[in-house]
Amino acid sequence: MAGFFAMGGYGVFVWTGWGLTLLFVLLLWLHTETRLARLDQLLEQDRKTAESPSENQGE
Amino acid sequence: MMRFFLTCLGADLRASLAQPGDILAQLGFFVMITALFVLAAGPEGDRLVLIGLAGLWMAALASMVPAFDRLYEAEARSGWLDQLLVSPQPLWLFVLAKVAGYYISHAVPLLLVSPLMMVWLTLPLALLPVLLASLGLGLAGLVLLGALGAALTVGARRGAILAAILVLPLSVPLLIFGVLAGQAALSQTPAAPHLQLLAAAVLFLLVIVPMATGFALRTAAENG
Amino acid sequence: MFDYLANPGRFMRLSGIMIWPLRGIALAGLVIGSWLGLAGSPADYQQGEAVRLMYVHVPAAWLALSSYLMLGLASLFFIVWRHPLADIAARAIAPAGTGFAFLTLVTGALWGAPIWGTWWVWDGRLTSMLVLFFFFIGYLALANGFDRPERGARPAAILAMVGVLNLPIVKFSVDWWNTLHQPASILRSGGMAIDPAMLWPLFTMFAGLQAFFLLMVIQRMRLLLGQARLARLAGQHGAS
Repeated sequence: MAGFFAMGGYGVFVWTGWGLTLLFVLLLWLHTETRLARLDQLLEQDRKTAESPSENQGE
Repeated sequence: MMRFFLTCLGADLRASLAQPGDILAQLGFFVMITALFVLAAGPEGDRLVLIGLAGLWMAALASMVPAFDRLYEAEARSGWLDQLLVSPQPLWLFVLAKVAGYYISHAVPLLLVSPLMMVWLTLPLALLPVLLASLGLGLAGLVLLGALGAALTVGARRGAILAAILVLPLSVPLLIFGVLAGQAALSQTPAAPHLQLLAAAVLFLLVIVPMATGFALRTAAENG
Repeated sequence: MFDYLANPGRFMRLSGIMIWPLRGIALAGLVIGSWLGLAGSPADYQQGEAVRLMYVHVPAAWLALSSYLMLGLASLFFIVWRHPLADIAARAIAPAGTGFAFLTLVTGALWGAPIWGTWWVWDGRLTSMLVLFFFFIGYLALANGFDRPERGARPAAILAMVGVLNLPIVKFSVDWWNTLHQPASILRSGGMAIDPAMLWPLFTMFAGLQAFFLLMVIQRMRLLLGQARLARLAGQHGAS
């Protein structure tokens, strides 16, 4: 197992490179999806307040 | 059309000459950077010759690029941008006149003092023709890019640094061909291929930049 | 086809169908590709285990370059046909493309350190990628450099188009420069023969990262469209 992680001395480079790539993927993915979820929430909220009868629809 | 071009050019040159301080400040900047470059590199002859050319180009870039955001300053102040929208004249011609005017007022003084800088950098006098040709062409391309960068950043936050960030990556081919021409002349090999490539790059910019810049100026005028 | 897609409502519907398949391909490609690349493939006879960096470096380089071309194409559509959706597409492409250009440089350095013995070599490809990264930085700075974001749309589109036209010249000039300043004794990574067993992890990572990239573009477009809609709705309520 240790031999696998060491990768014949190149382990530091290989793991750092892969780690950074996957970290970038993960961060961008999470960032985008959480912002989308929050946006959907806000849009839903907005729709509800617009439909609710208590809201003054004064023309 | 030619008359329109000359009218614009004349107005631009008169405006520049009315404020010689700007040109002198830029020239002083160029001279100072060259001097400080020698101080940083050390005055030993052999090494200085090798890197002096690079220093000269860096000084030229550093003194030209930060001033680009003020390229249309007079025009913006006098409401010229608003008149663009109703003007029947083609915008690219405005841009060409502006570029020519800026080249004469801001790049030619640099070329004129560059022989003196060659003395500081211990570059051989035989290099002068190639250096003037390459620097002259390179600065023409740089002013074209600067006209574009300035037009794109009209009304932006941090206009000066933003224009520099846009212009510098685009100027990479100019820098490479220009420095290589000088290095070729230094090592007694033909500089012509590099100069031809440099001229081709400048010609290419001459085709696309006035159009793109005119379009950017129209956008800026429409959006205030 | 572009006209058909240019309707935001239609875009939302069509892109909505693609989200889950793209998520699946991206996740599967990245997980399987990582396993294949890190454990399920042989080491190179010349480069040893360091060759595994190729499976992230090459797809990242391809995505960085192709995303800049897409950026230029979207900008062209925006300038010529003035579709707001094209500007939104360009703005959605830019962050992912910048990230991949940066990753290409970092993984290139990490690959070069053990193989070339130095973190950075001014060779043609690395230098061109650096300039491409600078192009992305300029685009992002300009697109977000105005107080009103939509004011930056057209300047940024013009810059992207000029950038795409300049890219071949930059590439040529850097190669020209490189042939005259050939750094001595460097192992050219292009001279290496690719074992068929290496094609699978490469292909899988490629598919995973490409799907991830498309997913990010679509999702960020939906995000920008949604934000615009929210602002519009808020404006309506405020006005009524």
